[in-house]
Amino acid sequence: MKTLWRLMMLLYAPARTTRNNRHTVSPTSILAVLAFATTTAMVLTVLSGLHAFMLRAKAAHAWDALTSASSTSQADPLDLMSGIYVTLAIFACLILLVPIGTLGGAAARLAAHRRDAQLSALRLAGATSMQVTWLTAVVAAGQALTGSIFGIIGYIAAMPIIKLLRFQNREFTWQELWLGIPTLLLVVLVVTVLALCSALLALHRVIVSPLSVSNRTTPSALRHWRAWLMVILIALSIGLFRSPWASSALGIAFIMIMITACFAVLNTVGPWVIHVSARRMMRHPSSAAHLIALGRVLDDPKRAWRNIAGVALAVFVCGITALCAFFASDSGNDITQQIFLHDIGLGGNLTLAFATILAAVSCAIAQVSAVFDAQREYRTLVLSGTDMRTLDRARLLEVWLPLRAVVLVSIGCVCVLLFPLVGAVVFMQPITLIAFAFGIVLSMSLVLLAVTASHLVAHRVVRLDRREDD
Amino acid sequence: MSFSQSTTSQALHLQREPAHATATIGAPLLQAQHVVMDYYAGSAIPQSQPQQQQQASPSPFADHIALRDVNVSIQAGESVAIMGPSGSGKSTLLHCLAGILKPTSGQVLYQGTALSSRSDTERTKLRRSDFGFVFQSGQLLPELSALANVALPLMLNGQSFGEATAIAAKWLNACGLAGLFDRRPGELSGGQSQRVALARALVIQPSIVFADEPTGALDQQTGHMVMDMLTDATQQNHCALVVVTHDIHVAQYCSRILTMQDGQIIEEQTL
Repeated sequence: MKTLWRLMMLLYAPARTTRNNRHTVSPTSILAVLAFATTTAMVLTVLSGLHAFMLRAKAAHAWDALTSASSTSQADPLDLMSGIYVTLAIFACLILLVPIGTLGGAAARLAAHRRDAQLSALRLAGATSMQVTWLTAVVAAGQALTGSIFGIIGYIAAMPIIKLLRFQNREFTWQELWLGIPTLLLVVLVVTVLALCSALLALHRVIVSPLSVSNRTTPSALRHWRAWLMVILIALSIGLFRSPWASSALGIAFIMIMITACFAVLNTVGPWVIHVSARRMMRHPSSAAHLIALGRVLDDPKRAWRNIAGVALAVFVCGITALCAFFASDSGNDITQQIFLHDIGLGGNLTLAFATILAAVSCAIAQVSAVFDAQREYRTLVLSGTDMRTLDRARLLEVWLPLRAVVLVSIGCVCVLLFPLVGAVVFMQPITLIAFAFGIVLSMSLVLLAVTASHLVAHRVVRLDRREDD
Repeated sequence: MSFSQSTTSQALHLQREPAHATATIGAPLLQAQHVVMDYYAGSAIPQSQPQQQQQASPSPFADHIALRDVNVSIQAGESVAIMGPSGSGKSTLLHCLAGILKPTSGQVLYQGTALSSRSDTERTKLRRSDFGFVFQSGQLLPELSALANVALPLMLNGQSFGEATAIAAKWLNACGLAGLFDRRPGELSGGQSQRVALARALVIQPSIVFADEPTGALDQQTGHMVMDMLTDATQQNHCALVVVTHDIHVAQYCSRILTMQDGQIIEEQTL
């Protein structure tokens, strides 16, 4: 432990800076901190929404208890629906778990980014494998801690905007949105510990020898059972949705659980879909950029999936919110129902926005991380005459080709799942289709924009005008 | 993995008339004239240096001046080794000759035309179509098979996947790698990887192959095998070869050895 501390001080303590020796923070560290900050801010904002609805439900029940002896007719009907709002908020939290987890994972991987030269040099200097592993994991945890503190600042900065949102026909109050110091500290602790565990897990898969860092395992092939799992779950869901039991309160809860489960299973099927479609395209790639992109996708379909998992979720959320938009327009003069459907639509749009932001940030982080991992190969490609435009296009295709396949599969799943619930008529309505298409195009565009941002890093990494060891 | 010298000699001579065969007879294919390379001046500013430092007075060691008035001529089909200790400017010279770096002063002429008169895009195209590169390591994309790696430069030049892989397969066969087309770089030995890299450099039928420490990551025996193949292949295809190396045994494969020190050529030896 003492040795570990000394090593850390030696490597990371602020050096006495001189004109020629300035201590600089690596771009990967900045990105990892940024990713942890985004993750924490998102978690806290989502939790603050849930907290607000729980407080409202609690207040409504207190009012209900006070007036139950006489009559509940004076209570606001929307207050009486507070329990449903809490259930919906939990549903939103559940479906955001996957993209939040994905971003957190990407941040942890980036934090534990294989600093090959440094780690090997430490081993060469006599540090044990265990010391090197813990050193990297502790640094990752440190970045998570820093990021989560920035995340708290982000959450507080976002509060005035969240406060303006109208649910149950009124704005949130500060008290409703404030989670309290203990919760904030708990979230910081959880993010830090998860980053530490994730880094240890990631490092378990690599061997740090005095001469190099290499992978301990090769990715396993993806099997067909993943597709069958999805088919079985969808069939079960359709059976459940068609049963008369589905219209009961418990049935609605089950519907939400099944939709969440379908999305969770899509996480298993997604990499397989990407693998199958990329392998088919690899038979005849149409350009050098396609060849490079498909090679990377096939090398690790799970990584390709992680880049775009958030968009698959966004498609699910888009489907639900598009239906809400349709029902809200068709709800007649019932004010309570109109507000309720407006709230569901707004909640859906918020979930969609969060999912899309998380997907875009995850994608940008993953792409930048990939650029750093492959910088030597990129550099030699550019040296031997590959233009940057081809490499940029390859990086874009690396995301676009899986994205296209997965979005199509997700749209299919959403339609199959929602069809028994609402019928064909709803899908024919222009308002539903426009809302659905708009949401999907928006989320896809944001993700592709995030990839474009990684080009800047790539251009910097492959600059050819620095002196090498010659 | 071993290969027969005679088989290779026959196999490595492939089809097309090299593009440089039309170059003016007698005129050097590539020529560096009074080349100076100062990494602090002009376009070539080291990325790691902060802005303020670029304007500061030169360091007493002046280690940023990598080349000082270097003159080199390379004829078509000739092989030249550039030797010297670390920091002598070998790789910088290679990068200037290949049009990767623009010299601070002086010029590099390729087939009589100054590289500096071409735009960055034109120089990139030139590297892709006329020059082949072999590096110590990290030149093959780890995600692509050997076949796809060799086909890649042809696809970059606009050929279809079918045409590119057909030509790539011939070059891999010529390099003694039949049966290893689907292997990825991680599944190949160091020598096999370098032979794939060699096939990739030669597949475009270049006028010059630039090799930067091509045997640096190999054991002595495999290194000799790769150098045998590199020199045979370039000679048979009437292709010039420029090798940067620390190793005199590697340099002796070439017809001329230039020795560098402190950014200058201090000795020239014809073998």
